[in-house]
Amino acid sequence: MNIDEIINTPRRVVNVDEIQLPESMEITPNENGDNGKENGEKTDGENVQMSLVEVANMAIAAYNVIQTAIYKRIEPRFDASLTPDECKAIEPPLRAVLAQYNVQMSPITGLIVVVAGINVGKIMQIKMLRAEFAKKEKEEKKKEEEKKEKPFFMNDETTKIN
Amino acid sequence: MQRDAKIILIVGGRGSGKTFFLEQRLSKDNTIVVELIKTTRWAGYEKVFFDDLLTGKVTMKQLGNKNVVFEDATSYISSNMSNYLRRLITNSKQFGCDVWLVFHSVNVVPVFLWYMWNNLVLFKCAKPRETAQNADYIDEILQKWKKCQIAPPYHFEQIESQL
Repeated sequence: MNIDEIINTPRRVVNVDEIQLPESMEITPNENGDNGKENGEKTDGENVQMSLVEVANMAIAAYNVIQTAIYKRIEPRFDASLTPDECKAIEPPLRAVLAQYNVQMSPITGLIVVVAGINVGKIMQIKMLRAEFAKKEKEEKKKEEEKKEKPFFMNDETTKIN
Repeated sequence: MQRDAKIILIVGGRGSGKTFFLEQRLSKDNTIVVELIKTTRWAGYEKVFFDDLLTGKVTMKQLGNKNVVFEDATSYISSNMSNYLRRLITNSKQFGCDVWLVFHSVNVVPVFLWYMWNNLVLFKCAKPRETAQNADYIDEILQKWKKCQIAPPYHFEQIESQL
């Protein structure tokens, strides 16, 4: 069939309601009808309330990269399927998770897969680890700001001025 | 007479007439265009962002029984694409979708599509290279490519797969 024949011949109608998708693909937006983005921007490290959809996508993308590397026995590059911002965000917590599986991460070239058997469930721990990292960073920033903001005479460590 | 859903590759360089070709043929009622960014093209058509498709704002079932046009597929459809997108294309027949994939060159068509395509519409583009996957069709593709190169602008040639 050429293109014009395809367009002029009616397509068989399918009842899509009968199709059942696996759970991993039944990703729906949250109650507000969005997927965690504000004004179209991604949540950054300070906001630990990352939407499940975004985490799932990052985990799936990371999982795909790792699985490809295992299958092809090549050194994978994270930036093949993740944006640079996602790579930066995912690297510290993923390094911690992968350390449990004896997976070494080269800082220069990306990820070197040493052992196989990483499943998506474990990679989903990235969400929790990322939240922890973000919390720690937030606390440290707060402490630094508090030290800067307080003039020296307000600092509890100095002696009181009469 | 009814037919199954098809996978159609539209291949051509920038400004070769791919979007115009599709706008002339696809009805506004039954077509969804997947774009990376909001553009002024496809006026009157239902458009979705590629990001919304991936994040679940637009589900596969919403695309059922429609023409789904992946505009500028060169940017986001590759051999390393997400499983979600791969499944959508692979199961497009079960969803009753005609999938129209717009690429800028034969050489960027991902490997797995060479095992599933039904039609290829070729415009002026870079010279196709033979690969293991397109070896069965490369002679015909090169023949039609030469015709496109010497033809006037917006000329296209069609190739049908044996599938």
